[in-house]
Amino acid sequence: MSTPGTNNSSRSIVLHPWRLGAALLLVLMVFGRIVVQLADVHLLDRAGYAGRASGEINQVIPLTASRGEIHDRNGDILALDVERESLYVAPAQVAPAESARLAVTLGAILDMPAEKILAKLLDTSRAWVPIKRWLAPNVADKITILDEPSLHLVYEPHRFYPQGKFAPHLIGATNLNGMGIAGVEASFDSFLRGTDGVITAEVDINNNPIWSRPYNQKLPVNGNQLNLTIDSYIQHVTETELGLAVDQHGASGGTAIVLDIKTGAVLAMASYPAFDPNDYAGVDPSIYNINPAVGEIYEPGSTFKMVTIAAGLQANAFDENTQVEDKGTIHRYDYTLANFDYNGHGVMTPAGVLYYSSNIGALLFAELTGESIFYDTVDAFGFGKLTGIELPGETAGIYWKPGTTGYTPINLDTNAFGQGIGVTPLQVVRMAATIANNGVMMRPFIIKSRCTDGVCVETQPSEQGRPIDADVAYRVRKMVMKSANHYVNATQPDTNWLVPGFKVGAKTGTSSIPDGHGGYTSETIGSVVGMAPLDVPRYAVIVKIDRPQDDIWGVRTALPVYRRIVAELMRYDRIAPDHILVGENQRPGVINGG
Amino acid sequence: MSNAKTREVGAFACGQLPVCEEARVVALHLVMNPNTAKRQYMAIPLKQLFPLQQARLRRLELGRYIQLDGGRSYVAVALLLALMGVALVAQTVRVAQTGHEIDVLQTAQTQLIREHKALLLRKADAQSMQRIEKYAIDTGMIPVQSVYVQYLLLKTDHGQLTVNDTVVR
Repeated sequence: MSTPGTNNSSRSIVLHPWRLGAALLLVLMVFGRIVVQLADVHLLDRAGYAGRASGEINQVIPLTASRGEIHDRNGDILALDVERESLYVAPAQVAPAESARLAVTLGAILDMPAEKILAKLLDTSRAWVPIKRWLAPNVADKITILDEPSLHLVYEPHRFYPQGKFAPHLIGATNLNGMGIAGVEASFDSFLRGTDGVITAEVDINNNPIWSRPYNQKLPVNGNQLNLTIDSYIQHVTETELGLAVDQHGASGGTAIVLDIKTGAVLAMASYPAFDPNDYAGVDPSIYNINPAVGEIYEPGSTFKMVTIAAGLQANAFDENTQVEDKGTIHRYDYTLANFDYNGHGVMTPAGVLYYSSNIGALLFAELTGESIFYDTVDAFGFGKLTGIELPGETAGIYWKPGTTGYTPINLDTNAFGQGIGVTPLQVVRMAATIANNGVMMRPFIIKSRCTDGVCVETQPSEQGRPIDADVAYRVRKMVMKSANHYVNATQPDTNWLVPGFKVGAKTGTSSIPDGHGGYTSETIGSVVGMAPLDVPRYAVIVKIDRPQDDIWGVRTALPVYRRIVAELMRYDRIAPDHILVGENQRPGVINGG
Repeated sequence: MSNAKTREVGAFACGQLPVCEEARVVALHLVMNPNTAKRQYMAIPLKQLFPLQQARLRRLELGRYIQLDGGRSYVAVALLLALMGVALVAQTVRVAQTGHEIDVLQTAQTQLIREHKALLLRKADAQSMQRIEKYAIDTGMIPVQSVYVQYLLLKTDHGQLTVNDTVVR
């Protein structure tokens, strides 16, 4: 019995030579094609294939540097970068039948119009469409729960200002690209920004670098930290009081600054109306582009009489006992100049000029001083020059000096009571601080320290000059204290204290607003500037209320704000009141009406 | 068989004896065949019976297997290449593991940084003066105004008057 195997093994196979040749040729052709293809891939078009492969495998992954934090003087965080999830949609992945339902659902979650979202869902011309950026964590969680494959959540760094409308003109804001556009965010943009890094590496399916493969890495350098000089509590009090006053008087705005007299550090700088740097898209750009405390000039009005008196005393052009006669009006260079009420106050000393806020008295004392010395003193106080504070948009102010084209002799007379000269609130409060600091003018500064990698460099207070002697400063302080106290009770001007229990200096001013054509509008600015406590001066404060509607006088619009801020400063600094420095019906540290 | 008188005449490797066809190692016994009354040899497999002898035989034959002559160098190269391959694979695995660990750690680092930032944000929220004030008002507190503050005069041991800290009435 034979088996198939034995049959096959017994059958002879005949291989014709042409078959072998054909098979060999076929094999050679296949191998030849392979060789040609290999040559093409490895030699002829090597660069192209390598480039395409590299493009698919090797990715350049940007590493965004975190912007530095901004803190107040006590370490409270005012601005920081956080990563929040942004919602994107891949329209090609959206099922057309589901798009409307999805749009409505997203609209409810994101608090956005569904029509707007639907348009994005159907925008197939783009591969990746942002729906909303920087979602709150709870909102992002709701999106995640939807488990919709066309929706993608991507972490993106975002600047946050956790205190909202807090010192916005000072801190500033960043735009969508993370660039500072206002405040210290703008002036210290490069310091805060840091340097982005990059990784060039092969990536996995999730775009994560494959660390076992060769890679190039340039690590990001995070931004540096800024510590401001402001004190959150003082800033809060200043902002609150200013905002209440602006609203109460229907004013268009206002500014208040608190300076540390000894160092020049800005403890508070508030302007109203304010804005929320987290969401300023709908805000008038003039509100966030300009910091009125340093970027807007105004005529200081009667607050400038402190400079007029200080200049004459410094030059010994007159002393405390020198008298001039205030008749209410005076004729100079074809103009009639007058007091605010056209009433004369009779014979008065320099103290009387400040007490009665006499325009005529001020110009007469300025004439005694002489234009050369007067303007030298104005210049020495830093008017018409930048203060050097580390804030963007500072303006120098303007006034005509003798010998310049815009100067006429009447300028001395009008400048003596604060008209015809443009100043910033910061310049005026620095002037008050200089008088409080025995004539030593310190540069105002807002940056307490700059920190890099945990190493902080403190800003050293710097002196900007000594426009007046200590003795002159002391004599002016005594005058402004009497001036301050008489505001409390006009019928008993010397028996009450502006802030009971404390010696406080203050000078109010009410200035008209130029119309731009050489005249003035009917609108006014009420302001007050002063220092406290006078025995050991600590703080200089200015309050300015713009265009109040119910009362034009600074003594009734700005002064109450000033009193409350000063009283709060004394309490906050635990400066005990002197029980002797109280008038009838006054209690130490208590401002009537709050 | 049990009654047969046998005598072991030696152990041989299979192939040395004509009677051995399958057993590789056998003991050759001289036995008396009762049917023919002749003596004849009978091969008895020793594999199970004499493992030591078996091992000894293998040892005797080992020299033949390692007589590689020129092939030794090829084997050595192959072994070396194999070892290098193993080392390369081990290294690659280790690098891949390390890369994975780095990836995991970086993910954890990113997560921790995010958590840190989120905590900073909460801290900053808690520091907000406006929030503190709102919280205080919401919980029924009222802002301290100057009219609520009274400064007291206290006598010291020396009979002098001094002013103490702020006392809230």
